[in-house]
Amino acid sequence: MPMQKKKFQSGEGARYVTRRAALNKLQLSLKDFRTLCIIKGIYPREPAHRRRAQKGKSGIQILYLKKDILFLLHEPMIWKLRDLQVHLNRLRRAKGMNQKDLIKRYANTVPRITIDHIVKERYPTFIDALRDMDDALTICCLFATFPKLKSIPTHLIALCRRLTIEFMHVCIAARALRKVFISIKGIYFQVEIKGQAITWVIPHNYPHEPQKKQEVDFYTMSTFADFYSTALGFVNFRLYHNLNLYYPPRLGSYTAEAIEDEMLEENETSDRVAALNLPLLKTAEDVEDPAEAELNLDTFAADGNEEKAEEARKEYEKVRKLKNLFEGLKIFLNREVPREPLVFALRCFGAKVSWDVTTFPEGATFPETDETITHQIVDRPDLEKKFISRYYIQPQWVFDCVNARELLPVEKYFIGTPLPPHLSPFTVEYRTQRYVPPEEKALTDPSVIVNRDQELLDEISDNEIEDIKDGENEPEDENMETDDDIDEFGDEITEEQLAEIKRKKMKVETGTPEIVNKGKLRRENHQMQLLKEKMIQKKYRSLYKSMKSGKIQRQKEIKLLKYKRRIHERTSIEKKRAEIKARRAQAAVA
Amino acid sequence: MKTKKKAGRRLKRDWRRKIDVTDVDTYLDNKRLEERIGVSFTEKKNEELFHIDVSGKKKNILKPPKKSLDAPLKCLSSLQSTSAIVPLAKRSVKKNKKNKNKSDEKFDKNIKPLKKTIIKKKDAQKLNKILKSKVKMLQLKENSTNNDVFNKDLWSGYREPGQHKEKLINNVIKWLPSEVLNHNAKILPKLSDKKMVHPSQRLCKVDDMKCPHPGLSYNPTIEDHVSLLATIAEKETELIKHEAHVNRVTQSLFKQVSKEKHEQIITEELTEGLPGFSNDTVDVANEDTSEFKAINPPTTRDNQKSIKKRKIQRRLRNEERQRINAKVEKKKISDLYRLRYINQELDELENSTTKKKLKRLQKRQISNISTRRLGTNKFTESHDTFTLPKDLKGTLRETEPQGNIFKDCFESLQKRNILSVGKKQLKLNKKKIQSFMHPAFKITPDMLAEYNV
Repeated sequence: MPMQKKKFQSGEGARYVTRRAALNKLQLSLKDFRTLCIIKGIYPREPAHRRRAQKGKSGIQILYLKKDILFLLHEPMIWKLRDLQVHLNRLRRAKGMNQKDLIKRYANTVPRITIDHIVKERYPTFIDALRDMDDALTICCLFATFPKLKSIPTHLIALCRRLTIEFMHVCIAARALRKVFISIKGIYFQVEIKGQAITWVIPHNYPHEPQKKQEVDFYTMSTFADFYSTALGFVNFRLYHNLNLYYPPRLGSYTAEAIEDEMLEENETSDRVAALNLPLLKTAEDVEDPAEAELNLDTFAADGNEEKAEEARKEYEKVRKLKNLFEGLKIFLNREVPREPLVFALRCFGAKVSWDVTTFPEGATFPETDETITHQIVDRPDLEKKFISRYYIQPQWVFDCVNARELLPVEKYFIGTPLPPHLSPFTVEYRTQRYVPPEEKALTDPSVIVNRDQELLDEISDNEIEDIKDGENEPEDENMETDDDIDEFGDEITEEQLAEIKRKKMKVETGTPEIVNKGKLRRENHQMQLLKEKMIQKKYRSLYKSMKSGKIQRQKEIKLLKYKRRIHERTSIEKKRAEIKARRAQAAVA
Repeated sequence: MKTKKKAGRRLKRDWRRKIDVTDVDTYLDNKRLEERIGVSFTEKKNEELFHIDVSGKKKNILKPPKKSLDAPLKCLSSLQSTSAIVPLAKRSVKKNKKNKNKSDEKFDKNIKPLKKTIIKKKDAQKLNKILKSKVKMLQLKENSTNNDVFNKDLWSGYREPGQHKEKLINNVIKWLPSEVLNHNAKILPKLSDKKMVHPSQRLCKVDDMKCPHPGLSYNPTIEDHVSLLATIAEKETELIKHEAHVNRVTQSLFKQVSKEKHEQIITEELTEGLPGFSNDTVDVANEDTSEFKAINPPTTRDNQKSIKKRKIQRRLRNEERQRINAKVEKKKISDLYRLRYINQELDELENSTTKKKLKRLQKRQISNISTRRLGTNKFTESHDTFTLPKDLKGTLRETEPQGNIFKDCFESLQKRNILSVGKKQLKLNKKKIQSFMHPAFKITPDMLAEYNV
């Protein structure tokens, strides 16, 4: 009799194990297993054929790859987890027996599990670690806002507070901030470090909102925070050393231990923002400042792709300008504005920041009465006492400047004026063909004049009423292509003419600009295009047709919208003109 | 050696009893003494006793003698006797180690309580133990403050523990044939050439955290805000539609009646046909008004089929049968002709099945990237955050934060297949506290009245 093949000993059934089986294999409790999986980055999987993977069982079980579990088996951390379990059992016993000295001893000597090697293992290179900083920063920033909670260890919260501030400091030192976006959820920041864009959210600066435990598993999230804080710490270390800065930075009383002690005593006095406003210690002098660092870009393109190279050069120039955006500005924050994002955004581009000493005693560098202050950021309809030497602007100006990469004119952001919309810098332009109103164009390209109404009205007030209609019709006529200019050669040429032509050829004449027949060129191009279209395969023809029709339709829409806009502008101008006329007539009568 | 004349020599016992061994003893004693003390000085030569120091202050560091191949194994050294004299009898002495100084070892004289008190020795030891642990703790704390956890660069110049050893082993492994490695891998797992690599896991690429919708701005443009609201509304209408569908398919398939009506129906059903109930009378009334008529009443002689009709029917039946037979014959012939097309049809079938297979594969690949089902519960996206136009204030001071970033973080992890979706804990599992009344406590009727019991 041949050997009977047993079911699920090969193939998908052998490749997956259930969570229970994994627990038995690793000899860990469920809690420890979860922790281990999160820290090691092992996640459950969905098999292609669930029934087969579950060895014929129905229902849905949590499955892991057997390979992954074998990978976990070699982790030295497992032994540490087991030791920890033993230690905690001892502690529990001591508590039950009410042995106070033992309790104290065990509570203070809980074995610490180091996960440095796991960080290294999960992020083999520094760039890998930077790529995963999005989540790390978001979670750490969130944990940093938490007060003392029952379900989260205080040292973790303190560590998160310290690390996030340190990271922000590095961004300030490297001038790495690129984009800011204030949403209703929180404030998004994007920094660029080593060519990696890191985006994270910080919640709005409001008192801590109690989280609902039903929605979020606090224990799981704190495990994530544990891992990410370790990763962030090592990333910080490297970033500081790359910039020749001393690590850990000395930020006054803002150290993890101090914060933890404060949290335990439940009187938090140290100021995050004050810590953010401190200068950093350098390990080496005479080192190039990242703000002034210049890179000699190659003038020739690498792969012959000149356009791309040109684009890259322009982008680099813009970023270089952006790094010194607020250089030399002295900005005072009124007490109602959110200080943390503003201080971060301003200091990232070289501004000097201060705030009210009476409300926030720590960290203020200059008083409100300082005459050298250039801008004061205010978020209320009016102020009683104002200085002439400075602009009073709303906080959106700072963020819009950063996103526009230029110092925007302050007029629109003056105190009490309704603000222009705050656009998201994270939008991806997926539609190239769309109507862009001049207001939006002006946001990206300030050379475009937005509203000519005022100027036009000013002209009108000078009593020189022109017919604007004719003036505006002219450019349209110009746009019309001159199709009818066709060369009129090729009829009959006499000998004289020929001789003349030859004589002309001998002479050196003053050069005339070459006339390019645009209409002919266009027609030729069009014909070439038609020929190309003929070559399209049958199966793609319908697709091409639909694409083309869509394109035409979109162009039509854009034209229509432009036309509407023009009509609207013209009518509004005429109305205003009529009003002015009427007013003048009234004045004349009076 | 002297031996007694009349003594048995056969057994060992005889020898032991009757042989005088004093001379042997004295000989051995002398030998031992000589070994212990050495040969008397008078017998030694001058060269043995003295030597001229030529090296000066430097001491010659003697190199350890080279091991010869004949030397006995080191592991057997404990079995060898160090004495030059052969022992008289084999003895295995069991040494009873009594470590008297054990308690003293633990006792650290340097650690003393600050206050001087008179205590018993036993208590002093206990106290010393506690104090020792305290000192250790303090030292630990000091170290932790001095040494930051993040004190090394992980990505350059940092060597993991055991990395050096691994390198050595790798160098050795290069020289060993694979059979040897495989043979020894069971005993020394480190010898195996295979290295555990972190399993690369493709995660769901979708991440809403990275790119916020422009309509989420605290001061958005009208178009962005409208588009955001439109997308949310679209999602909501779809959800409502789905809910309605589920309702229609499940709940409204069954008739629903209120509890009272249900009871009423049951009583009606049970009392049917019983005299003295209202239903009975109603039925009677119905019977009176309408005449009873069966669905298939029995035939009578009046509506019998005529012979002519029967003949026609028979003829029609025959014709039908013939037609069917002809059709079958025709089909047989046509099938013969069709034979050459069968191959073509088979090809087409195969083609279509492969196409379907490809499509299915593509679909699976797409679903690999998206959110998958890891546990019993399916991931459902929660509602997006938004503000109504009336709540948009346009200034930073007045904007109210919406949404919950913490929850978003958690859900994004679930969305990216990192966490399996668990059950939502609608109420926290708090242990109920059972309360008892003390048996001696007496309750008076006034008390009950007071607490409205």
